[in-house]
Amino acid sequence: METRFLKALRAVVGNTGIVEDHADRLTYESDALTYLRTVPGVVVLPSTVRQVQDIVRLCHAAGVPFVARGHGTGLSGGAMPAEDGVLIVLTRLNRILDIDPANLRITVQPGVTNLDVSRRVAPFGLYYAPDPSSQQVCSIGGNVAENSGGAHCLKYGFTVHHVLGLEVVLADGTLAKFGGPVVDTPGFDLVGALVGSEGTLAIVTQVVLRLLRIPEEVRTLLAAFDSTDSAGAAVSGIIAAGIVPSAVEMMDRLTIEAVEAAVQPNFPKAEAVLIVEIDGPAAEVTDLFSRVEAICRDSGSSEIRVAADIDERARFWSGRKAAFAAMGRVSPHYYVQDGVIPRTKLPEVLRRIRVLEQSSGLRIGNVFHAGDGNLHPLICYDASVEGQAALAAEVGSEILRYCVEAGGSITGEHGVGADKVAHMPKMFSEVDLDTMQRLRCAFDPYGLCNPKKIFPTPRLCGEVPGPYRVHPAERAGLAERF
Amino acid sequence: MVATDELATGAARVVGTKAVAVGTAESSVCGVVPAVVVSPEDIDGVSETLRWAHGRRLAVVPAGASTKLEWGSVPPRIDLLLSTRRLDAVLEHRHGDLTATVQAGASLRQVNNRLRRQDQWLPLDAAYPDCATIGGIVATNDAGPRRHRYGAPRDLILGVTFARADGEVASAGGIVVKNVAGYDLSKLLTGSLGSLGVILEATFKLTPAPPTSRTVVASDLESSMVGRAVSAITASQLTPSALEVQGPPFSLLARFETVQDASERQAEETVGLWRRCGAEPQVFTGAAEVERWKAHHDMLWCRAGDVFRVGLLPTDVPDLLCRFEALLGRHGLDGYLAGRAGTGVLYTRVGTDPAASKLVVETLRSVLTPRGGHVVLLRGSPELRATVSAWGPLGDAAWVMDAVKRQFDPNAILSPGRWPLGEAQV
Ligand SMILES: Cc1cc2nc3c(=O)[nH]c(=O)nc-3n(C[C@H](O)[C@H](O)[C@H](O)COP(=O)(O)OP(=O)(O)OC[C@H]3O[C@@H](n4cnc5c(N)ncnc54)[C@H](O)[C@@H]3O)c2cc1C
Repeated sequence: METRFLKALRAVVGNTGIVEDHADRLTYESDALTYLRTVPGVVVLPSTVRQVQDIVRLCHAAGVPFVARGHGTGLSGGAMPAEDGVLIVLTRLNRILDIDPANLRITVQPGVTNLDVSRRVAPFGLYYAPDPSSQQVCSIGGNVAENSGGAHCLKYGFTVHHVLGLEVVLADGTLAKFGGPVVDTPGFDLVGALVGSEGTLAIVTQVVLRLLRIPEEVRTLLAAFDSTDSAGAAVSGIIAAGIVPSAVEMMDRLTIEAVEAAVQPNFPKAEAVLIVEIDGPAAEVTDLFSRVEAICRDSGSSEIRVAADIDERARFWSGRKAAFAAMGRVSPHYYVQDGVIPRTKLPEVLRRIRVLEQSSGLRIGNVFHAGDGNLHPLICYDASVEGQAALAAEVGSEILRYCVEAGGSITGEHGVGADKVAHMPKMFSEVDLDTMQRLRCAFDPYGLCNPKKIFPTPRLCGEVPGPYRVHPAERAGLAERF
Repeated sequence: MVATDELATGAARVVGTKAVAVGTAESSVCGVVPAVVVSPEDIDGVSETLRWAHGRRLAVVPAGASTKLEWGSVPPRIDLLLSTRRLDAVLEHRHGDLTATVQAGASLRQVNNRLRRQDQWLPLDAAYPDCATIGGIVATNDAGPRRHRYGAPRDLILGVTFARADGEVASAGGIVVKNVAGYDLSKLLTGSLGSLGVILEATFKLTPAPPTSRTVVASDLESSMVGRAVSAITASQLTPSALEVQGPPFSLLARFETVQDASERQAEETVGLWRRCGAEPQVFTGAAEVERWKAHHDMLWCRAGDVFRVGLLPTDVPDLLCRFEALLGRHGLDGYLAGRAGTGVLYTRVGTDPAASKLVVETLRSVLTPRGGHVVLLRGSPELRATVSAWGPLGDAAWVMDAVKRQFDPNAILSPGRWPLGEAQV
């Protein structure tokens, strides 16, 4: 990187806010998808929004690409740095700015950890609904960028349903506010467009979140089945009965073995287990829960355990939330895939994955948000065996093909990032991709904000002929025109 | 300006004479008569019409049942009113997946009648549900009382297929409930008032139809009592599907839609809470309840008068009620207000006197703008529109919106003047 540019950055963030040493920069070369790596040109850790603006202004002026990074737990290489670019790490913007329990709102900086939001509002009887398994470590900024989901999103929706307002630094360094604590702000829903845009449109510096009241009653059961098919039938049965549980999670035998070895949740030995949770007003929960139990039994569940208290419920969930990490107990390496299918296609797609397991010789664990049809096949391999890593990647691609063929998606929550760029044409036509990139051109015409992510071929933005162009001098005035 | 007959002939060449009619007073939008009304029978027809209009820079306004075409600002000129009415199929109801894909011209009523066969529904109760089309509901992001529980169209939409200004057909999102591949343009199009593209198909997340319903109504409340009664609900564990205020004189309605036992108990609990606030609530169910909600809808939407949408923090609602009532009293005006007390979206209806409406808008704006709220004009005469901004201040997001608009509609043919910044050009 140019010394003059580095010096200017240093003037913005000070010596404690910049990482220039090569060995130290290596720490930031990837997110949690470690096989995609690029050492950033420089790393900056701003501690104010003003600093973020100044950094972006410098990048804009010098034509240097920049990438926002939250807590680096992303699983698609979204926060993978740009070569010779600036990595803007937002961990120091970690303040909770305002809690408004009466209006069920909270305003936070992007570096606040997901779980901290719920912790801070628990004394008011409130919580923040989206609960990714990584919630103890991932940042709200990262959640906004990825439109993160979690086990309880089946009933309550994803990040996009809980973000009311954003303050962002645009690609030229200007600050803008979209939405806010009040709903339905006039104009386009730029909050809706920005959530899930994987850090490619702007840098989020402030987020207004919607909070929910902690439900009166929560009941959880664990049901064992002798096949994933019958567990899948139970899921269909629950939905067909008009019941929307707050969570329906499924794990297969290999995953159960792995979590038993890792955290001993004492799950029954079975081909599949379902965790079903119902929450809401007590009378509603009592009624629905007994019906869910009956449906599981009728679908052939060999054993149903109902969590007797908070501790037992926590144990059920510890098994589920540890699933990814636990694969390390049964395999030296594993690749976490993320794909979506319509939930009715579950048995069919799982059978295809079983066949693939046999033909490839790689073991595949399955743990997923069954209620949403969001699969997380865990593909086991040994990188020390020549060709196995490549084979695992191939198997991963093949599974995405099954998802798309079933009418689903190549990603339900981890994002496209750098990892799935090549898969986008499986889901979208050239026109679709071109149209999406018009949004990118509106935000970032020079393509400096997290480049080479999401889209296989960047669109040249050019200058769009328009009948009306606002003169910069008019800008300040027009908002107050009336 | 292109002559009407030239436009009609040109359009007929593109989509056939049967799909083209000359604009009349009936098809006018707040006094603006479209030169030509085009109603293509399929997606290709929409696409071809746009391709043709794009090259000629015609002013195209997409329309469904035309119930909300004047919301926001009114286009100063309409060359083509592009109707989606003939695209009215419910394409697929995947009941096991709780999703459905429908064409833009299908009415909400028609869609829900179909979904009810499997005891499911699209839990939107937009204005004019009998005729309002899915495309129009998405384009206005219009949601009724049940928004309290189920959210607005932008929360339920999973994917969209639309025709761009240049006629190309694009899709975003998907048909599954969870999906983060690519930009979610369905959210961007929702609420864009036909200014970014012509919505052709949309996929929604559905909800099981609730087995039972109860509504608790408390009438003749002081505005301060409304505040206490609303917080009593929001601070409790109750899960109403709607929590509405209406008046003056003010009433509150809380609806509970769930299994029998739970709706009964929650209604009882609400009665208890509201009694403690000094109210004398009544519980409605069955036909009487349906009637009560229909009256709630009609009182706002089916009477003459200028209508505004007011966005504010839920805790600011009681103060606003108080001010609204005082304003009406002070100036001897007739007015009515109804909306989502728990969400912070209210609708005010006043008479048709432009001076009085202007006074109401400006007074409410002066109170709400500093508090982050807003007042948007939905229905009003050309005289009123000439004197007040339909949108009010937009803040610094306006410049990004302008850039988005220019990317999606470089020739500025789609609903020119209808979207917020367009107003500046009028
Ligand atoms: C064990 C494990 C379990 C997981 N479970 C789940 C799960 O259940 N559900 C789920 O959805 N995800 C899950 N994830 C993925 C990951 O935790 C989420 O994607 C999370 O939202 C990333 O947050 P982060 O702070 O780590 O972001 P990072 O990884 O640092 O960044 C992710 C993306 O966000 C962008 N970004 C970050 N901050 C900002 C900002 N302020 N402004 C603009 N862009 C920004 C980056 O550029 C990048 O594109 C899991 C990951 C792991 C390792």
